[in-house]
Amino acid sequence: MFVEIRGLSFKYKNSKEETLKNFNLNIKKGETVSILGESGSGKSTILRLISGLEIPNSGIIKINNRLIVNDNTFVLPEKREIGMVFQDYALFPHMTVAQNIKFGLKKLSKKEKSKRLKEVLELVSLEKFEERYPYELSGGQQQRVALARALAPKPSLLLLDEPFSNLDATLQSKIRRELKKILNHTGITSIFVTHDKEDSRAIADKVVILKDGKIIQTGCPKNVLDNPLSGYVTEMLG
Amino acid sequence: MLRIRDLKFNFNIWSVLSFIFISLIVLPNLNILINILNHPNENWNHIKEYLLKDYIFNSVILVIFTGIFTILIGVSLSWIISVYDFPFRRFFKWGLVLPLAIPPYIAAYTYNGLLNYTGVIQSFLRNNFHIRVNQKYFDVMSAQGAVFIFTMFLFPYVYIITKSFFEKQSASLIENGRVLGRSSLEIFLYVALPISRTAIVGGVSLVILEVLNDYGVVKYFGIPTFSTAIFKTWFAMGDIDSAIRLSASLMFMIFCILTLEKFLRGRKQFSYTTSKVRPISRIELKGSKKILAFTFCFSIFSLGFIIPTLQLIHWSLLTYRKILNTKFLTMISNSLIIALLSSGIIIILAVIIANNCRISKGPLSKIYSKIIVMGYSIPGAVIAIAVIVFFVALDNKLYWLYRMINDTSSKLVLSTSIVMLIFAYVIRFLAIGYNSIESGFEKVGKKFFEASRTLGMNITETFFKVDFKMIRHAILGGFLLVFVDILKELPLTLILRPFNFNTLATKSFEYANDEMIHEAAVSSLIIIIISVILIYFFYKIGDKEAT
Repeated sequence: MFVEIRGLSFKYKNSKEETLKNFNLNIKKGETVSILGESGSGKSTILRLISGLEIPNSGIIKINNRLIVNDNTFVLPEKREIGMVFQDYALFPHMTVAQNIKFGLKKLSKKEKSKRLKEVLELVSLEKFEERYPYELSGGQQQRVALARALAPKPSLLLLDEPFSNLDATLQSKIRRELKKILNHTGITSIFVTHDKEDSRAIADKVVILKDGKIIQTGCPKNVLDNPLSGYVTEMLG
Repeated sequence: MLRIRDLKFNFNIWSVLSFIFISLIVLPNLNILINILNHPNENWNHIKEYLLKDYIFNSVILVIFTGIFTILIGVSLSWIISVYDFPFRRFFKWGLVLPLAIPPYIAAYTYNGLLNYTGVIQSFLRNNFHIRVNQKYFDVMSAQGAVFIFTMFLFPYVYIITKSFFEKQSASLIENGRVLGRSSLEIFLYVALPISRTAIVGGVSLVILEVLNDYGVVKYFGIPTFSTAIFKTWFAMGDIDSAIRLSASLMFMIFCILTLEKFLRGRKQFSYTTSKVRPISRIELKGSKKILAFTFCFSIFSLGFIIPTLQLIHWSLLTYRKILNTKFLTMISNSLIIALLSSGIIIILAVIIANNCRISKGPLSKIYSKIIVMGYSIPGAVIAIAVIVFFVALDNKLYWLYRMINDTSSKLVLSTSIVMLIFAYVIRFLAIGYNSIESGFEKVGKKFFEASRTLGMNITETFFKVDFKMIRHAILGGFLLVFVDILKELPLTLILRPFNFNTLATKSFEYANDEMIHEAAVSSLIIIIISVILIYFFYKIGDKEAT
């Protein structure tokens, strides 16, 4: 398995209940997994734990056979080589598109940086925008810059937190298709979190339905979304 | 359960440095507390029997009346400025902050010089109209006079905090009140006052802490309070044990005030979390109301800024030839260098600790910010004692080291150096820099920091490449505020400065205390001018941020 998560539990300091309870997940290389749940189900917490922004109370995470966290080990976020696209993109407002994308390429030479920048801009079709500042871009463009920035350092795993929540509803189906294309093109393993089952249906190879920090159902989108096992899933899927 | 893994999560250069700095702040103050456990000496019994009551009584009187008057003036001004439109409103909006540029001790001797028998007012009345006034009404050197001085020059604390609260929080509530057909006065009494309670209490507690911190005014006016008593016991009687005991009593009083503040603020936090600020649509005043609003603002502005400044300019013109010499230039550069150096150190410490508190998920970070804020509430006299006792002890411990470096080294090295003064400034003013930087970090949030971490940058790289650029306004703003405060600071500088080291503040006070009021004017005026300019820049930065 490329990503191995076992027995992951987590509790925020000021909350009484565990946000995540004994969470298990295996992901094959190149797979796109969607974590589907309502707000407060703990779905974003999983991404924060995988990227190293939070530390779990217990559990193990391995990526490509490399142990990144267990009871004795903690690999710092900057050493994990995991890309993340944040819900509101978190593009650095004082940097241009090019500077934002080059930010994660500190190990490369100047020449290599420019080459990589060109590659990822082409990938997200924003070749002409490299000198713009984030506030000069539309929401969809900002999202693609965030994606390009996360992909630029060639991470082994890509995490996307509610990638469509800040976009116009009318644009969503188009942007879903684009994202699917980009993910397929790069062949990257990815996990994305959403509350919209249509996102999962359009992009994911595998869906995990989460409620109160626990997995309720998991499987390929078609099976899960069309044959919900429990009343909750039926209700949530509307 | 402590796990090595968790340590790694929270252990970095920022957390280590923060821990060291905070410990250095706590140690000297702990020292004071431990000393109380010693058996009191005879002198203390004398103080307790005959003097303590006076100290408490005077301090309480000053605190209560200054508190009441600053609330009346500060709140009414902030209401008028936020809700009404009248001539020169825009000017008064920031002009009414300017009394803060005049340190109360300078105001105290200026008003005394203005009002006493030989002062300009009485001379004018006497020479032109042969009026001899009853001295009782012109005697500013009394408890009432001190309340007047503190009120006129500290009310901006209440004004600033309440005004920004009115501007940010209350537009919809006030407009609702208007739509519901209430008069302005009713809205003020039943809507604005209750919802702004937190802001008012916050402002007035700053005023109270300043009053208790004051040494210059009460010393000059000869009012025995805790501050003056601590110095007298220490220097005149040479009884450091009793001075420490007095300090502890004063700290107890401050502790009560802070508890009361917490209680008064209550659990009711009438604040909205939305970041969208809608300005109140102001009502244009007409006729007599217009004149009234203008006159009120203008009178306060005159008493708190124009009159004392004009008087100081007049005295400066009389004396500048005598005063301005190379010694004076050294003094100016002393003042600027020490203020620059200390503000720089304070801001660096504030950035390190604030960044650590923001990142760290450990329990210590919450305690850190409490300790820093406590530092601001400790009066100068108490900090002075704590720091001296600490440094003398430190010098004793380090004597062997001094001897190793220099055979003929004296025993007191650190405690006779500028280091001690800077150290004291840090304890007292760190809170000001810290608050500014903390709110800067809060505005930016953590998402950019987290994005940078996932892109392969560690905490330090992230700080210099991302965070620093985003909080630079907050850093500059904090720096300006601390700089002005250090430039004006009196009690700490007076006691802890090295021998023969004079600043504008200490020289002004010394001249005034030696009955050379006119000679004190030039240095006082320089303090005021620099403060006004910096306060102006500070507001410019604030306006820039808002747009």
